[in-house]
Amino acid sequence: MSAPGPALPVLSTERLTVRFDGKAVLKDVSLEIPFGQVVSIIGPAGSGKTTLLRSFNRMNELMPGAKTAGTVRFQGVDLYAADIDPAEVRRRIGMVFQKATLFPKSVFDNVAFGLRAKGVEGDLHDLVEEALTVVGLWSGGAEVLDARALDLTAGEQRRLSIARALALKPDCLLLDEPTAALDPAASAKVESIIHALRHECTIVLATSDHTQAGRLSDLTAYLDSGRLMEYGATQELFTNPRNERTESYLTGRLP
Amino acid sequence: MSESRGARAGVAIRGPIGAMGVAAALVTMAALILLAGVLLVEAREVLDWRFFLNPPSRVAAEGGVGPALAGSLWLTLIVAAIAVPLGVGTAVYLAEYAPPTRLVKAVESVLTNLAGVPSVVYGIAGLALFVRGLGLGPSILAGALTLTALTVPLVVVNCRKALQAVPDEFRWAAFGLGASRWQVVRDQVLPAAAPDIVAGCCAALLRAVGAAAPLLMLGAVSFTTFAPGSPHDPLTALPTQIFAWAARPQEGFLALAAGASVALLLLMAAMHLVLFANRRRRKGTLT
Amino acid sequence: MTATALSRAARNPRSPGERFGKHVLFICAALSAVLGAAVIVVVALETFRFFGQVSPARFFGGLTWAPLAEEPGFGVLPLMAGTAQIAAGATFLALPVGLLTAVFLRYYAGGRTASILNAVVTLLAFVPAVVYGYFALNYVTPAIRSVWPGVEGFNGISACLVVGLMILPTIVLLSREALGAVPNSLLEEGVALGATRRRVLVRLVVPAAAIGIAGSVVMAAARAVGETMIVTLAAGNPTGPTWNPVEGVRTLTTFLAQASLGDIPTGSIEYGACFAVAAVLFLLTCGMHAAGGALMARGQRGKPGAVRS
Repeated sequence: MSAPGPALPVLSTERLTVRFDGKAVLKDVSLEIPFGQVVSIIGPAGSGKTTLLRSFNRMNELMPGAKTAGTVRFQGVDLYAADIDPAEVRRRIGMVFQKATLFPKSVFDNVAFGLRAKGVEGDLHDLVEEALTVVGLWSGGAEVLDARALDLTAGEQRRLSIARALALKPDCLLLDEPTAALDPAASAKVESIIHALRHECTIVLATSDHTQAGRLSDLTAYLDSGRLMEYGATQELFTNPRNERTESYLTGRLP
Repeated sequence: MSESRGARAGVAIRGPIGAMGVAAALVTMAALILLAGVLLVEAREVLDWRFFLNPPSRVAAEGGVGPALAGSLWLTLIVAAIAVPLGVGTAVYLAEYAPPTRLVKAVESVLTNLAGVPSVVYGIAGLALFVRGLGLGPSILAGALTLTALTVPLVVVNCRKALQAVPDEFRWAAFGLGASRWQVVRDQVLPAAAPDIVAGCCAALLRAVGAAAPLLMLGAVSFTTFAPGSPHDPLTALPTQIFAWAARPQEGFLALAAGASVALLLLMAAMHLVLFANRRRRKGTLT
Repeated sequence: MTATALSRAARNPRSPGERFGKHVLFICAALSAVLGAAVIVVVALETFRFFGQVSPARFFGGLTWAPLAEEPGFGVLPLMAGTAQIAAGATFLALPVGLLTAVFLRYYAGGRTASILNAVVTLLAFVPAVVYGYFALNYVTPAIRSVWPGVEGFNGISACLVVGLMILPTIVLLSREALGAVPNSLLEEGVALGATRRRVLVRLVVPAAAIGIAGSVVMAAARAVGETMIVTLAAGNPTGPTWNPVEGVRTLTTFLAQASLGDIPTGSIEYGACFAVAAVLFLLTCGMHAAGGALMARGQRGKPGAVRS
C-alpha cells in the first residue's frame, strides 16, 4: 500500500470520447487532475461539463445509450477495466449532483446511506456528525439528525448532499454546479465549504459561473462543444487566455 | 343553454362547459348510485348469514353462495400468491436490471399488449393449456392458473408505471454514494414506488376476482352442492354464479344474482382493505 | 490505500442479496414471459390447425357464421360487424360524458368535489362486468322497453348503454391524464390575454390534448371490443346476423361465451373456430391497445418536465 503521491495525477483522461445514442458529447478530451488541487470545468451550456464530471465516477453508464471510449485513470488505474467495481469507484470519487436529490428520510439516514451501502457496521453517529460538521449543519443538537431532509432550506439541502458524499471520505469530490439555484448567502456558504475542503481531498467542479471558478480553483479547464479548448492555471487562463474562444466566453461575447 | 349544443359539432362554443361538466359528473354519479341502489334493494330479501353459507338450490329461496364464495376465496389466494410476486419481480427486472436488448424489449411489449387482451381470450387459452393440456379439468387450480396468466401482465404494467414514476435523479443519488444496484432498488426505488405498486397490484387482483368470462370458458359449474375444499375440486366462483342466476327469468333468482353481486363486491372491498391496511391510498390506478 | 482496491475481487463478498436479487428477478421475468408466450402460442397453434380445415378465405370472406348448422358457415365478418356495432355505440355514448367529466375534474371541480367524483369513477371501474350485465338485462332493458315497446328482450341498445358505462372510467381517467399533460401555463396565458376561461379550454386546452384524448378513446373502445359478459347477457346471441339494434346482436365475444356453455370436444372444428375467433379478438384488441398507447404517449410529450437533460 503506497501512499498516493503528488507526482501521480489523481484523475487523468486520455482521448476520452463519450457518446449518447451515437452523438458525441465529449470529443477526445485529455487532461490531468493533480493531487490536492481544486479544478474548475467551465464552458457554455451543453458543452459537456456534466458528462466529463460523470465520466470520472462512471455515472454515465447508467444512462441508456451511453458509450465511453478512451481511458480514464484514477491514481494510474484504468477505471473502466473489466474487474473494476463501479460502486467502489463512486465511494472513492464522490459526487454532488446539480439537483440535490435527497432521500425522503431523516438527515441522519441521508448521510448514513452511503456508509450502510458500503457495509460499515455499528454506530454511525460519529461519522455522520463529522460529515455534518464540515458542512456546518452540526451544532451538537440531536434534533438535526432526526429532521426530515426535505424540510431543510435549499441551501441546507445542498450542504447536506455534500455531507452525504463526504461521509464516505472520498479521495476526490466531483461537484456539479454546486451553487446553482441558490441565493447569494447560501452560495457564499457553499463556496466557503468548498474552499475549506481543498485540504481534505481533490475537488473537481463544473460551473457555468466562471467568476466562481476564478474564486475557488487552482486550475481551470474550458470546454466548448465537447472539446477541451484550454486548460491551465486559473490565473493564467483568466488573464491571458491563449484560445480565442476562451476569451470570447470569458468576456461574454460568445455567440 | 342553446349555445352549448355547439359542443358536439366542434363549432365555437361559448356555452357553459362548466355546467355541462357538472351534468356529465352527475350522470356518472347517478349511474353508480343507481347500480348500488338496485343491488341493495333487490338483494335485501336474500341477504342473511345463511345466504353466504348455503349452496345454490333449485328452489330460489333456499339458494346461497357458499361454494361460489369459497371458490372465489381460493382463486384470490392462489392468484395473489403467484401473480403478485411474479409480476412485481418482472416489473423490477424490466425497469431496473434488464439490458436494452431486443429480446427484453420484445418481452416488454408483449406483456404490455397482453394487458389489453380481453379476459375471454385467456379463458380459451386456459381451456387448452390447463384444463385439457395439463389435464387439470375444470378445477379451481385451472381457474387460478388462467386468472394468473391474465393478472401477471396487468401487475407488470401497473408496477412498471410505478417504478418509472420514481425520478432517475433518485437512483443517481444512491449510485453516486456507492450503492450497488440491489441496494438502490431495495433501499430507495422500491420504498418510493411502494404505494403505487400496492395500488397497481390491488387493481390487477380486483380485475381477476371479478372476471367471469374466462372461468365460463373453462367450464365453471354453478350448481355444485359443496364448497371446494382443495384446488382440485370443481371450479366455481361468484362471477359465474352471478351469470348463471342473472340469466334465469324465474322469480327469485334475480334477488339471488343481486345477493351474489353484493357478496362479490364485499369480497373486493375486503381485499381492498386488507391490501391497504395502514397505508393511505394515493390515487386510483387503472389499466 | 491504492486504487487496486477498486477491483471487484478486493471487495468482501458481504451482500448475498446482490446476486440473489438479480437472479430471482430474472427468473420472475422469464416465467412471466413464458406464461405470456404460452397464451399466445396455444391460440396461434389451434388457429393454424383450424385454418387447415377451413381456409382463411372462407373464414375472413364468408358472410354467414353458423358453425353448428348442417351446412356450416365460418365467415367471421358478421361477428366482427356485431362487435363493431357494440363497440362504436358504447364509445359514442361514453365519449361526451367521459370527456366532459374529465374536463370538469381537471378544471372545475374543487378539492372535495374532485375527490368524491374521483372515488366514484374509480369504483365504477372496479364493478365486475358480470354485475353490469345483470344490471343491463334486468333493469336497463325493461326501462328501455317501457318507453319503446318495440325493443326485444335481448337488444343492442341496452348492451351499448351499459358497455358505455363500463368504459366510462377508462375515458375519464385516461383523458384526465391527457389533459394533465397540457401545461397550466397555457390556460393562464390564454386567460391573461383576455379570453374567457371556457374559450381557452375549448380553443386551446382540449385541442392541445386531442391526441392523448384520442388515445384514451381507442383504449376504451378496445375494452368495449373485448367485453363479454355484458353483451352476452344483454344482447343475447340470435342465430342470424342482424343490423337492427332493437334486436339481439352477435359478437366475437358472445360466440365464445355461448360456445363455452356446451361441451366442445377437443380438436373438433367448433373448438378450432373458438380459437380462430379468439385470435381475431386478440389481434384486434392488441392493435387497438398498442395504437391507443402510442397516441397517449405522443400526447404526453408536451408535458412539463418530460424533457430530460
